[in-house]
Amino acid sequence: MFNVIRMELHRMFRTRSFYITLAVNVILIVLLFSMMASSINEGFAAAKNSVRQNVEGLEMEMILDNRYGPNPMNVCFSFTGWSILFVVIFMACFVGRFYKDGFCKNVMGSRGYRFRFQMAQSVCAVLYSAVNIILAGTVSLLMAKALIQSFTFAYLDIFCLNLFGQFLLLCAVGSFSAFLTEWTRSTVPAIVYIFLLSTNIVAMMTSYIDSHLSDWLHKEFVTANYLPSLYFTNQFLLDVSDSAKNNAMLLHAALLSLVFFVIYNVAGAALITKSDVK
Amino acid sequence: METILTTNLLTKQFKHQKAVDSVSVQIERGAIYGLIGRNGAGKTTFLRMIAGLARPTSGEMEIMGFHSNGGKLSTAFERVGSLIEQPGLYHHLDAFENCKLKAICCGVYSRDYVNQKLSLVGLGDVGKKTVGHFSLGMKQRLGIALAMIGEPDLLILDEPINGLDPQGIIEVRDIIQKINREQNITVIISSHILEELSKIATHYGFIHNGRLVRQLSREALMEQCADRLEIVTDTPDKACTVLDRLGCEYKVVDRQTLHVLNHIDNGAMINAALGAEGIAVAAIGKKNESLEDYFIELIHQAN
Repeated sequence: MFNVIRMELHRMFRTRSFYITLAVNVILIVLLFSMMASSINEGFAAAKNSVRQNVEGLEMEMILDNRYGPNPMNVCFSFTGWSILFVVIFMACFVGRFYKDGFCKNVMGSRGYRFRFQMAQSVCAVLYSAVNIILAGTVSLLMAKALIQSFTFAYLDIFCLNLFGQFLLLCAVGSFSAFLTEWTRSTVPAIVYIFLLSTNIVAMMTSYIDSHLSDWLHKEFVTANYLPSLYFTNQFLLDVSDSAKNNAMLLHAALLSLVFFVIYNVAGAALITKSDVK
Repeated sequence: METILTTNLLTKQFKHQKAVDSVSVQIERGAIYGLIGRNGAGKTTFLRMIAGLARPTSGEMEIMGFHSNGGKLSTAFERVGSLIEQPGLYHHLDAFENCKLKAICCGVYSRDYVNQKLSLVGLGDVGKKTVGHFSLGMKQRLGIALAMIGEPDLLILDEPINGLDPQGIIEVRDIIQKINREQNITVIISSHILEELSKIATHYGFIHNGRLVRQLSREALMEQCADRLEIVTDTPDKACTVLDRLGCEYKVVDRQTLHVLNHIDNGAMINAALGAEGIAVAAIGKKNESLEDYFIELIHQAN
């Protein structure tokens, strides 16, 4: 098992898409921040003026500056959300190449050990997700410090917890992308899925389903609570003032990620063990 | 001699078609087994099954003492190297990196080991050139190098000389003979180029429409393709009577053709005997059968 993991890690660090996707993610964050910095600054200034006009007192100023002012949670969290796009694309390309170039024929003769390749690709998904989210978080913090007026590192711990929750969800999403690519032996389905997700088409479809299911169940049902990718894009955001809610959210993210990580990997292992190598 | 591979009624069915139909082979350790068949005969499918890349629909196989029913066949497949159809290579990596990946998978981390395999197939000096820029011959040779990483006991090569120029064919032939001779690696090789196969194979299996129609050693094949006397006549039944009387060993090829397997140099005597009985002989002469002729005749009989 260790040899196969090492092989895939060796390949990952020699794959251009590993560096290209990370670089594009960083460039995207830098560009978006640069374009949006002035409007972000204007927004915070306007909010501060509005509160000053209505309320007087130092305490309110402090609340405005920290909780509602320019801090990592209020400024940077949305920029780290792009990571899901690159995790899906990278894993689709990485796993797809293993089959498309035919290298699988050289190493997958031993059917009883094919699950090792599934494990190795999962390790790559976890490592890439970690690198991506840490890089995205770091770059957004640096950009915020450079471009956002009065930016403070208040609630940095909450921001890091947010990143950790996103990392867990990305591991599951990366495994999904790998599974989809293995199943179809094509990168197209994973890329189509992430396109639909990032353009909110999936969210529109699920909200339609949610409304009908809620009517039928006579209680609110939200699909996004049960799928890692949707939870990542629509639901997962920690609150700087509510640690109980944060704990519940993190636990939910962790359980959701673990369950689907296992599901996708078991399904993927079963798939590659049973099917012929072409 | 030790048997390295045995298959018993191995079958692969795809929906309504049997690509491989009850193939039973026995291959000895150290042999170079030539698998011969037309396009679509089932060679590649059979090779994929014994390389572990495809699951048989039915039948059994035993590789290096590990039986398919025993559940330990996965261990045997780790001792099998294969080059099936196109070589499986990462086009964005160079030859060394491709081999190194396979070596890491096999638990070998030595640069020298990889360089040694590349040198063996004549790719020791390709440098950092990526596989995407390789010629077909270079890719085939790299595929052979990859198959040999991990020191397999059994090497399966599916048409390794396809698309190669004459120089490339000679080089691949030399590589196969060298590894068979020096490392006692058993090689199963399929090819359309029967002439080349006849130069290296020690055993042959002829496959047609998924079935193994004949399996024989090189010596037996040479005997089958040996010189014979061909007699063409309109009355072969009467000719057979005369040949029986003369003590000739013969074979009826078709409605007008007989092959006499002994007394090959006594053509004049046989012709005279046939003429004395009023049997008109349209043609009589020495003939030997090439591997192609033998194969075509086998297919004809199989059909």
